[in-house]
Amino acid sequence: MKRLVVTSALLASVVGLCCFELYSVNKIYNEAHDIVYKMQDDIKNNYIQDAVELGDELSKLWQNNNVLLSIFIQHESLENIEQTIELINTSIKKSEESDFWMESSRAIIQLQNLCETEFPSIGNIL
Amino acid sequence: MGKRQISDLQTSELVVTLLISNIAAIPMQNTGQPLVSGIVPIAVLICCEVFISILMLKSSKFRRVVCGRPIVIINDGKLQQQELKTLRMSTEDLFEQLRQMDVFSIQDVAFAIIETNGKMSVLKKFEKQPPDSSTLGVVVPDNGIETVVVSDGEISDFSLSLCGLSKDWLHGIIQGQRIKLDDIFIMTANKNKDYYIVKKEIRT
Repeated sequence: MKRLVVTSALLASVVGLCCFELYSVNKIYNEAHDIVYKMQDDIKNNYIQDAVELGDELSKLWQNNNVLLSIFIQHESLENIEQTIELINTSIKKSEESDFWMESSRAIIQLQNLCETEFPSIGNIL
Repeated sequence: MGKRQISDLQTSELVVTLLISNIAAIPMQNTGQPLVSGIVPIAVLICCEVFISILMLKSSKFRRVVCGRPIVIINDGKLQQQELKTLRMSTEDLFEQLRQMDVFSIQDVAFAIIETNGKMSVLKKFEKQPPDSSTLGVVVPDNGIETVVVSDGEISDFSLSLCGLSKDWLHGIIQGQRIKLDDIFIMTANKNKDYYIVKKEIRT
């Protein structure tokens, strides 16, 4: 009986940990995704300064959550996203619009992949 | 899995053990892999193993599905050839296992059973079994279990209580033998207060 209780507690902790991970990844994905879309709108409307501010905000968001995400997610994919974010910021600051569109599209795809691979769907499990 | 050795594990338990060791190795080898990605599946496997073992205790049908059933390969002295084929067990394997059970002639065996963990249990024919005290009508004194009450100069309270002996008795014996407690390497005793002392070797 004691073993059953301990095991149930262990299982509950694991489920809790997985739920927390899903919540965290989903929250960070939504925030980062929104910022990248806003940056694209700003660049489209030629609001360069706003886009630069949003780029800094995106970098800050990623740096603040990097430690939390690296507990759950492979470090390689996180490093790739971090590099892409840096390239987005550099391209805006250097006013290289074509690079910005390429890197921002890549960031959106990388963020989507990150979110999709962590989601416990049948496709991912199988 | 308790305190069983690998050879005593059921197939499912062995698979879980191997899986756990393999999963534990992944985050250790790859530093880019978070530790949680190893801890979570290990915890899930442990939980599954405990739940399955509890289910197996409660339900004999479930136990039969997971562990299978013991198979009788020699029944009342008759070799069950079909069962040997089912087990894919050669005659060499059979004789090897019989020899390991101190049986050197198949004619001595009344029953041989392959247990669910793959080990063989053998019951010799009645006339081939060594006689015991009850068969011979001899009364053998019950000395109980012999335990190590002093190990490397250290008294084991658990062993003393197992034999129903006290520390006072132990100290009395040591004083009677005129030796120090620290000089004793091993001291065994049983419930009839029979004891045996091995002193520590003196280094030169």
